[in-house]
Amino acid sequence: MRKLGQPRQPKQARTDEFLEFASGRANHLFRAACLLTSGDTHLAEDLVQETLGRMYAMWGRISRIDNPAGYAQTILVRTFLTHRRRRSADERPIGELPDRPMTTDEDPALRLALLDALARLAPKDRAVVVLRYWEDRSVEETAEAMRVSSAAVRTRSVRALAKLREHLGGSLAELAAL
Amino acid sequence: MPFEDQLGDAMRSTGDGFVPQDSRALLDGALMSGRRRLARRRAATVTGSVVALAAVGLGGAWASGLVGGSSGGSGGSGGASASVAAPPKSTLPDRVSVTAEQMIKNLISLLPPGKTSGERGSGAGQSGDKFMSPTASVVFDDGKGKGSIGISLSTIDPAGESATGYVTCPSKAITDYDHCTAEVLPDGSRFMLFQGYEYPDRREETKNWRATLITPKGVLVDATEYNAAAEKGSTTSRVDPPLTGAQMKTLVTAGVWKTTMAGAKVPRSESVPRGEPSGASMQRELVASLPKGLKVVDQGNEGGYAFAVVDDGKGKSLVGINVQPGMGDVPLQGTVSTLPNGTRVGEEQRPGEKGGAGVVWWTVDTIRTNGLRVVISAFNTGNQSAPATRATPALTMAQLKGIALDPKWETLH
Repeated sequence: MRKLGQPRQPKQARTDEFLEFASGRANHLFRAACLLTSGDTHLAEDLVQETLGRMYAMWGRISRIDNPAGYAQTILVRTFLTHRRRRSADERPIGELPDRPMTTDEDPALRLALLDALARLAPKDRAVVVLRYWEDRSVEETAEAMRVSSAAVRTRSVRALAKLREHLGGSLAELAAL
Repeated sequence: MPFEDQLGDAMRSTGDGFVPQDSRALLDGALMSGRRRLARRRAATVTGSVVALAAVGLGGAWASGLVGGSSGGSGGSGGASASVAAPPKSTLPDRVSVTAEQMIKNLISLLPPGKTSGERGSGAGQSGDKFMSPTASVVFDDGKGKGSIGISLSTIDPAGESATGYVTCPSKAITDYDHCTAEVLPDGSRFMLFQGYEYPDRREETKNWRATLITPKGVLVDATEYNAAAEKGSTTSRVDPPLTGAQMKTLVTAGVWKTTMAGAKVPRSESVPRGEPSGASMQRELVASLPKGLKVVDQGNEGGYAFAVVDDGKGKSLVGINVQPGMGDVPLQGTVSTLPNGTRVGEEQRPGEKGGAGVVWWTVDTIRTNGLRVVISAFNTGNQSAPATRATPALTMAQLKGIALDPKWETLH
């Protein structure tokens, strides 16, 4: 049993190791954050920054865990949910679209339709969708990341999928096929 | 295609379109945010950082986790490696090939006659997505009781502050120990032999002896031994660890380790975090700021932190200071006021928290409008873990405040 906490790495080594990890994960986290915020890239940047900042502060312990990349995703979702609680008073109007052009040659109609549909979901439902269908996590893993029961995840999944189906209709297949 | 799969595809293609506008700024922001978090945590234990950092001198991450970890086996990857923190990837020896078995064999071949058990090790290479430093550890019994011995090989910028931290004896104001020597060897390598305790407050009497060698090329050879069969939670089985100080030195200076690490790439040079003054300059300025008539009996520093132990003839008093940029959003504790120039000041007197009997801890925390934080603390003891040596610190709150508000911290590099 460790009573003193883990011994520390030298500061610079810790920073180097962290930066190597962070630069490898930042883009992926940013994409997840953009989906969670349904396209609010400014908020997404804040979330990624806060997530990585938390990772840095815990780095000594984190670098020992099996899957720091997966852990960062979990922290991102938790940060997002906490953040939503904090600023629920000035919640973005539903359906607001991203204010910055996206750097892609992907089909813009699909993107806009999807982001719009995501924006219509409750934040927790959106988190479930991102974890389950973007991250491919199981119900149990999603539940653990969100600190809710598996039953709650299933309920939210069903509700969110129904809503997305309603808003996207058959357009998803159609758009994806373009 | 089921709707769920279509959704996954659509999310992936949508997500892929998002790219951070400025990745570099994002990482800088993350680092700053992380440092602020650490600093906030340390605001509660201002000198806590140095206590832990003193442990850098005593416990490199990978070496200390080496002995007596929970996982068994001596496989190349996995096994002991699970309890060993990975060394920094950026300093990974990249053309080093050595197996766990070779590491263990090399370690045993350098030990005096005796019995070994519980052999473990890890080779250079990869474990999962983590790169690993070569390590080996054994439980050794020379007939007078078991003790664990471990060694790890890594690289470090030999000119950096971290390297110096590894081979500089810590101040006894910061951590308690029996004996420590540091020297430069004829080949230019720096060597430190530390003989102390697993727990500096000695709540358990497990001794921790450590030999650390840093070659001019930046190869770090680090050996640790205990007078118990495991690092923690195991009763001591002998008075001292099995190898003498001289034998520990022989162990880390053995040619085989340098040969093993011959292909290691030159470690990346270490940089001081932006905007943070060097520990050495802070130490110099702190000492220069102390009121006349105080004798400085000890002093030291670690990036972002400096301390002095002073004595005015009435007993020792530890004074420590942190200077941290970018802390504009840190909440102050104690009695908070704002000066006409916008600098916020928090003043607080409270009991010490390192267990020393009767210790009081006085703090003045200041944050300039540009976010520069200067926080100074003083104790009525020369060592926070030891009992009070006097009624109050050797400096008054007003003197502490005067030092913290000195404009010189704003231009210090």
